[in-house]
Amino acid sequence: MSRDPPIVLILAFGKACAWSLAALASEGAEFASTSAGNVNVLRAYIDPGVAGFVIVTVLGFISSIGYWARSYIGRVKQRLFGRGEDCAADHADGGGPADGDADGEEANC
Amino acid sequence: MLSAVGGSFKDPSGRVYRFGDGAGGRRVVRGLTTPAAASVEKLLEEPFFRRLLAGGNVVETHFLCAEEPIAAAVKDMGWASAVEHKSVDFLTWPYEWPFSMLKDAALLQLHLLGTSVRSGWVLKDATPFNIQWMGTRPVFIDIPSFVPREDGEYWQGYRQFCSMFLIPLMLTAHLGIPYQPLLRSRLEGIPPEEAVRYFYGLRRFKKGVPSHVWFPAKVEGWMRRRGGATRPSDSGRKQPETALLALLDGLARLVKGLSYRPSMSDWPRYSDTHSYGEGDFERKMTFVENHTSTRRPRLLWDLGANTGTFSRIAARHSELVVAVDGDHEAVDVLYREARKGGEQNIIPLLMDLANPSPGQGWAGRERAPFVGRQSPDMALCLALIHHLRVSANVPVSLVTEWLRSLDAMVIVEFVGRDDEMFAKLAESKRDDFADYTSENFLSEVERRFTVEDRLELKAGKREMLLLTPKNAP
Repeated sequence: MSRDPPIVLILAFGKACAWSLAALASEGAEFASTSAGNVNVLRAYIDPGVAGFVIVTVLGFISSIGYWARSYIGRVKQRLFGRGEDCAADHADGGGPADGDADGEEANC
Repeated sequence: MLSAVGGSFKDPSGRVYRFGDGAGGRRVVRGLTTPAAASVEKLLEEPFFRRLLAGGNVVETHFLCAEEPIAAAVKDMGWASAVEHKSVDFLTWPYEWPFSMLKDAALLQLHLLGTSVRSGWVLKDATPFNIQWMGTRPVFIDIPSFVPREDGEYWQGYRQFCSMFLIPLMLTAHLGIPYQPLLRSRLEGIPPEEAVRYFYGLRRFKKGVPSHVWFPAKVEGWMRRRGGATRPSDSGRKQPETALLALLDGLARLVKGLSYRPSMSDWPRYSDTHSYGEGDFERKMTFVENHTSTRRPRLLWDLGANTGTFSRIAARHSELVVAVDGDHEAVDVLYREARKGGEQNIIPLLMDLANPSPGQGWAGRERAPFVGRQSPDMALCLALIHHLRVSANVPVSLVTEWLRSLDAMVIVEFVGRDDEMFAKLAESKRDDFADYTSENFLSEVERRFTVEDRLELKAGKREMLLLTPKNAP
């Protein structure tokens, strides 16, 4: 993912951000769906909250900025020092369950 | 005989049943609706899911042949298909887990979701009740939670993840508030609008709080005030995969960075600071080792396990040891050390034995009580009774009656009145604990158990007993 052209992602995030801003600006009922446009029988009982889409979109956008910043810092480090692998990519799968390091230590990157 | 598992009724796409004798029936099957069966069938073929299976992150699952009697029984219940899961030896609930267990469960949830999203799937919910423990290894058990991700589908389980994993962890890490009593009373977790009241003043700037507590609480409150939640919308709102993965990455970093400040409890250092002489401690360990190795119990409960010195001895000769203690730090230390050491047959649980987990949820059956979940074959009850008598005011007769109700062999260590640990506990109490004598204890025990073996420790101040239950009168 870290190798995607940033401009495409920026446009995508911009679009998502515009959606969330539109959601906040419009009538509450319009964006207060319990499951947006994704209701189907397999998801019937999930309650994402009254503002699930808006919250997830805004936080996803903000997280993306940090994600890409870390990614670029990692690349710069790699070029300068020949090491410092892309930490963001390492964490993209959620990091996985801690294997015996459940003592709250930050990942080593 | 099929018996429905209490907590599995919420998702209408399936229902879990146990097949076999008693509450701990050994085979676990799940009835599925036609759409859910199609989804699970596709999932089992997915390379990412096979990798998760191989890594032990998700429970082993396979479809049952329609000809099998058990599959027919499931179909008779009205389900289209049946799958069988590997049985979990002992079910536990998040309000019984210490901090590090909930944290590892949260990281597993994020790991599974991230892996799924990159393969075109998603986890439709995010509850820790979907995670169980094979010893100290968390395993995801709710396979129908994996569903194909619709184009640009946003993460609908985010709020549930916050309420049931992230906010409880942050309460303990940032504020030192134990989350277990809160999760025990609120099975749906702590929602942002409630959590925001804990994080007032400068506390709202603690790591992760502005984004995952304050912001969601404000937006939800604002939406509600505007009269939201009335009309579902079909507008095609989408979230890019990259944004979702970035959010998961941020959450994983946040969770990994959370740690709690240990209390000043003495119990985690008990193995170094106990009051035994070297010879007595060795004899106590030998007593436990000898009797567990002879009986080889399938399920053993270590009641008042502390950091698990005797759980480990018992685990060498038992299929599974459930190690219970009321001291958070001791249980957390036990979990971390057992996980680090790769010990796969000890489940540490945090519980006040004077107030063990009750039946919870719908009809009190959704989450089974600790005692009714599965009877042990043997129980260790070492230097616990004086705590129950002095600190919780439970009469000796009730303690022995409760031990008898387990219908298991018991290894008990009775701490006499002249022991310094009893004196220390009792010094601030005005009660004279008249029923707490060796003679009365033995009399209560002999009404309900046969004493098979005895060992005096500390020059008679303590006594170890091996008890087998007598038939009910």
